[in-house]
Amino acid sequence: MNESTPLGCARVRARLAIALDGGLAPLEAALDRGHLEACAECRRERAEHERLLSLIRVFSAPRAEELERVSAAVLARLAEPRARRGELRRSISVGLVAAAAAGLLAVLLARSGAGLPARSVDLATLDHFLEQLPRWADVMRGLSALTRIA
Amino acid sequence: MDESEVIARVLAGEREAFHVLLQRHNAPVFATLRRLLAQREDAREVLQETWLRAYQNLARLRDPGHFRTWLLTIALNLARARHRRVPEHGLAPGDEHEPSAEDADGGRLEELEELSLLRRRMAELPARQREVVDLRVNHELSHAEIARLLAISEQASRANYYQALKRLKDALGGEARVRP
Repeated sequence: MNESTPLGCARVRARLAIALDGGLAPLEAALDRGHLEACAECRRERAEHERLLSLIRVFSAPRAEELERVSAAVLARLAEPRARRGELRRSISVGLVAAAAAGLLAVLLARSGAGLPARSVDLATLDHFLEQLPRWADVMRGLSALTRIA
Repeated sequence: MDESEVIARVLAGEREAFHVLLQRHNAPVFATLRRLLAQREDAREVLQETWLRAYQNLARLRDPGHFRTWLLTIALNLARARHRRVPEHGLAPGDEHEPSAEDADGGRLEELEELSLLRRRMAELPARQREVVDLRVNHELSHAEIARLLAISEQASRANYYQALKRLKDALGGEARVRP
């Protein structure tokens, strides 16, 4: 049954990949082992299969310095979230300050327009707002700079 | 230190413990990405992104014993997304290992030649076959694990694996025979 017959060789070679993958039933594996002991040509074929698998294993193996570079970059990025969270807090602070400033401006504008006819209020508040705009921008820039320093 | 302990430490805020995970899994995951993406630079970027995602989502990992498989799932998804975004960045015969001075001896050069040939033949395999070969040979995952990871059946995993090996062996054997 295990002799090197063409039929035996064909059977063994057809399922070499399965055998090396551990996919044969115990009886089939035993039959093939018996054949391989007697057949040099099939042993050579099996050696080629094993070589293919070892080539696949080494192919694209990364270089040590390449891995080090990735590790360093990952660890550096992991150190970032805290800083980013800080940036987020600062952005929120700036947003809140801006909202408060806008609210204050609205109150001031409403007060400055009190008692005037409706159309005059609109024009007066608009003029006033446009006049004050550069100053508010300076204030906002200053606040933003302060929060960045903090 | 066992994997569960390392992961528990990372979750407790020990960033140094994450370095242990990096050292253990960086090389095999990078090798997988190199097999899936043509350009080394792409593989490096996707690897970096894989680790960052893993760190951000580590608390969601239910079974620390499956960390490698989980990490590979992230890497494969990111590699596929990269491939979808930039199709020409999929595996292609370019960007191969440049022979260096220490590679100059005959045996090493011959192996490099074989590796180069293997790379070209791998590039011609369907993506699914390439993934299965990589997961089976390099990560030594069982077909059941591969099936779970790739959302296919175990039979499909086996079939893809055997077909891929046959194609690679036939192609390499054929070219080797033609070579003088």
